[in-house]
Amino acid sequence: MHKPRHYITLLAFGFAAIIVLLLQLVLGSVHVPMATVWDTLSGANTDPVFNEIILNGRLPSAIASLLAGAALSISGLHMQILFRNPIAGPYVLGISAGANLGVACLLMLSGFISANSILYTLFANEWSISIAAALGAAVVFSLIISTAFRIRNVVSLLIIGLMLGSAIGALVELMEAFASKDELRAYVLWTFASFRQVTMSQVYVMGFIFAIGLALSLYLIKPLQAMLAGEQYAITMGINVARTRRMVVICTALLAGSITAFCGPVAFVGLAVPHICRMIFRTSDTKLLTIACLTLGALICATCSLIATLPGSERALPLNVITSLLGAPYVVWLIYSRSKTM
Amino acid sequence: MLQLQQLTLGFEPTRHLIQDVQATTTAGDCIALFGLNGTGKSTLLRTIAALQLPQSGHVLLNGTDVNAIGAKQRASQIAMVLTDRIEADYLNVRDAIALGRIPFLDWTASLKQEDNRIISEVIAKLSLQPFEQRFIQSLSDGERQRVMIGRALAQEAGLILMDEPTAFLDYRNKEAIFRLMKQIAEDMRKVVLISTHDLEYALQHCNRFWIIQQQQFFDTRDPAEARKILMAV
Repeated sequence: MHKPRHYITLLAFGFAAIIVLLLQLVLGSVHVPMATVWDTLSGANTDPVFNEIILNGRLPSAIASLLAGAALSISGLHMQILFRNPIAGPYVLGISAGANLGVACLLMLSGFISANSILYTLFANEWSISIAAALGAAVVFSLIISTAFRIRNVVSLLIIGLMLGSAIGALVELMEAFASKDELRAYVLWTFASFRQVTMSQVYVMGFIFAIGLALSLYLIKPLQAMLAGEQYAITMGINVARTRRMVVICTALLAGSITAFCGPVAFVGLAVPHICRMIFRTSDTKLLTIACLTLGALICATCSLIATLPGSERALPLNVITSLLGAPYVVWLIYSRSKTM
Repeated sequence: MLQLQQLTLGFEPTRHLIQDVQATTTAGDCIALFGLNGTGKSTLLRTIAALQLPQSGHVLLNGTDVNAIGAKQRASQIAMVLTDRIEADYLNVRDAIALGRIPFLDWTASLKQEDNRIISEVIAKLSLQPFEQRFIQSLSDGERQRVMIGRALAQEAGLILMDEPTAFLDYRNKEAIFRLMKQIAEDMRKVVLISTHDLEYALQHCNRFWIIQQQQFFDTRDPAEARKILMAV
């Protein structure tokens, strides 16, 4: 049963996320006053420098941070329910490993592609990294999915994911050994994840895919609630479990896949936020947790992104440094506290 | 209400677990299903619940084949208590029982007033009020099993199937569960079918006995006869 304090908390998260979004527009290496931000957003500002900073720089990256947080958190929630495993996250099905491989191939093997070839034209634009990440993710994701539901033992599945991740890591290291300094640097920067390079046209694509993923997530509320009791119980309660699994997989591919393709593999958010939501609301209600992941995920990711920009400084920290510094101790604590209750 | 018509169960076309099972239940039946491991108790329960198909024959529920009715309608007629443990974090007793209302909820899974009334009644019936807000992971095995029975009751089905519900319980809880199920069958005019190895408790509390032994199916209401069949091997 939902209580008034739940609605108030959700509203507070949503409100805070909007505040952080605005702060992301105001703060940065150059301080832009709130009034100027507002004028720029409403079209009243004619200064091309501010227009460039706000509309083409900070706005798309701020919106991307909100979308990423919401999408990865909802996707993490789905994976944790589907696999009945608290340490499952949006990347358990190989999306991150696959995207890494795709981008590594693009950045470190591109020297082998002739500058005149069709491949070069296809991959030498603002979409190139996203396309490579999406292709890599799709290949590895399909590989894991094809084995996933033949193996009913979740632990085995997680081990397969881990092994595949190690194999891909080895492949990437092999490429690194032969890569130039610049290629290596470009690849390592990508693995840190960032919202800063996201363009407005990419935000439209992300937003569109997110909307489809979110609609699917809402449709999945009831079947996933039944799956809390386990698949066998869900079947006896009239749920089509096979269809639910397929839909969750499609939803993860859309939500986590699109974010990873445009922003890189954002660490810990998808794993940690569903747990934080459960602890705050002290519930396992899928509907409430979906909305909580949407708002709190957006808030946390946007806040990490804001901290990573080191407002007022010329430098910026890699996003994953912030998410990992906050996320890793949390996950350790989570495992510790669970081991005490078992 | 539940009719088994010339039911043959098994996994391979030539290997049958049991053949030509014939039985008809009446409201108030609290049936214990006996048989050694691997004789087909769980297969029979799963076939009745339409989780798997029979090799031949029919399972009829109020005159209709269980495999011919839709999954949602079936869920309103058959509830199951399985051996699977629910491990969800932050799932309290009330919400766990509320899971039984899922077949009747819209896509948002929101509970209506009627659903809440039914859940409260189940909680009262099973004397779970003191635990209502406790998380199921903090409950003992016996308390958990009562919650799972509550979830099945909230489904308001006429037939409740239970797969070894007392397997992990101590003697006091075994006794309590059988007593409770007999009471539920009699008071609520339901049919309860319990697969079990706890002969003494079942013979004492159930009012009907189905036995699968050496690929044969026996159906009796007499505990002494049931004991004789069981001891014949």
